[in-house]
Amino acid sequence: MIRFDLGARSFAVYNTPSGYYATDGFCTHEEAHLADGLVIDEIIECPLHQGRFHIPSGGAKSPPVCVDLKTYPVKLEDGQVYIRA
Amino acid sequence: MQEPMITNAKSSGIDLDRRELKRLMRRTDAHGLAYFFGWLATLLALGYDLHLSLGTWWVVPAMIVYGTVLGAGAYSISHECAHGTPFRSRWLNEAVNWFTALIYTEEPIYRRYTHADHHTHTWITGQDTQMNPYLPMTLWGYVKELLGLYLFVANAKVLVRGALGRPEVTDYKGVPRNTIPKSEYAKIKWNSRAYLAIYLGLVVWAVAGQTWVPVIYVILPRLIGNPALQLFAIPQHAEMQADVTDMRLSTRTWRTHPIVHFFQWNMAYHLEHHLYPTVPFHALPRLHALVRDKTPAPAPGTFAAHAEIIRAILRRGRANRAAGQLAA
Repeated sequence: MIRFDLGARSFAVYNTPSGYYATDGFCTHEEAHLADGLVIDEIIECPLHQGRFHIPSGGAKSPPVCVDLKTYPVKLEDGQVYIRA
Repeated sequence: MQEPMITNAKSSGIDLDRRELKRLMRRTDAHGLAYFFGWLATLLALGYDLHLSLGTWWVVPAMIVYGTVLGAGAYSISHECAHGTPFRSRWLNEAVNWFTALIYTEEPIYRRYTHADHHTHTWITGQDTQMNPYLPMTLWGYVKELLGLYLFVANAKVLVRGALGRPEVTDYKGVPRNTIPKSEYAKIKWNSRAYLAIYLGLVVWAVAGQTWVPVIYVILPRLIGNPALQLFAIPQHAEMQADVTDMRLSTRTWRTHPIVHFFQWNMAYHLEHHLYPTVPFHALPRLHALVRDKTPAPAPGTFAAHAEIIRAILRRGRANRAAGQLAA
């Protein structure tokens, strides 16, 4: 997982067993960057309060997060990861 | 209204290498299971000892020890599970959380949200919903806190409000906080009702079954265990500096016996836990080693921490009396 910033926007990009994904970089609960968190299989856990999201869908999976994470389409081409943001 | 004061590792002047931190954050089920079953096995052994002591004066120390392990253990385990860190498998974490929170008597979803608040605004007046209500603490306030009855009553009120579908959070001074989204109220309601039904069931079992079993092995020990639970909870923040974003000033780590560390799931590494709550309990000693040159020396022991707290309370009392005399 890496952090990718573009201007004022920030993303988290994941390389999971089922493929590459990209979501908003900041947790929807409080302002913590998910790139500092922990990936367990297809779950990203926020480093601040351990709220969890499902990476492929952005779905909020456990309190204190309850607002889903925005996801972005990703394609892999010639070893580069492209995000449609 | 006061601007929110955010407390985290950065605000506390700590910035660990990211790769080092990721290594510490790794999750397994094995550690949590070993500690959890160790706790259960100890309870079984102590419960048997309690059974053997019935009818003799040995029942008093037997119940105190059993109640201590029961209450303090349930508090520590449910606290870790509220963070979701002791187990890699989520279902395991939630099952252990539900069970231990039942014994500790705090609805787990409510706790998760209020505890997140506590971590975001650690020991900030008006923002930390878990802040001690008796600040600045008097000696009588300290005794009340140690007895743990306030906490018990507070948890009971939260359960009843939760069961009624009204788990709105206020801080200890009664100021409302928007800590829990309304979308969670239904789940909290059903958890609270389940917990209250189980507690009522214990009483019904005792009365209708004309048996002392639930009283001797659950109700009395859980009440008696409260002071022990508080003995290990109070030093976390008591008489540390409030209203600062540097948690090295507001949060205490203290040395304690390895047996206490075991049943407390390393909660005495409390500053380390606040700096990086994503680090699971079993990795806190390693985290402590990594930050020790940037953090205050731990208090020498649990009782030393309490002595420090009592000295601070008495010093403030003397200063207040002297100021009162000067004013007069």
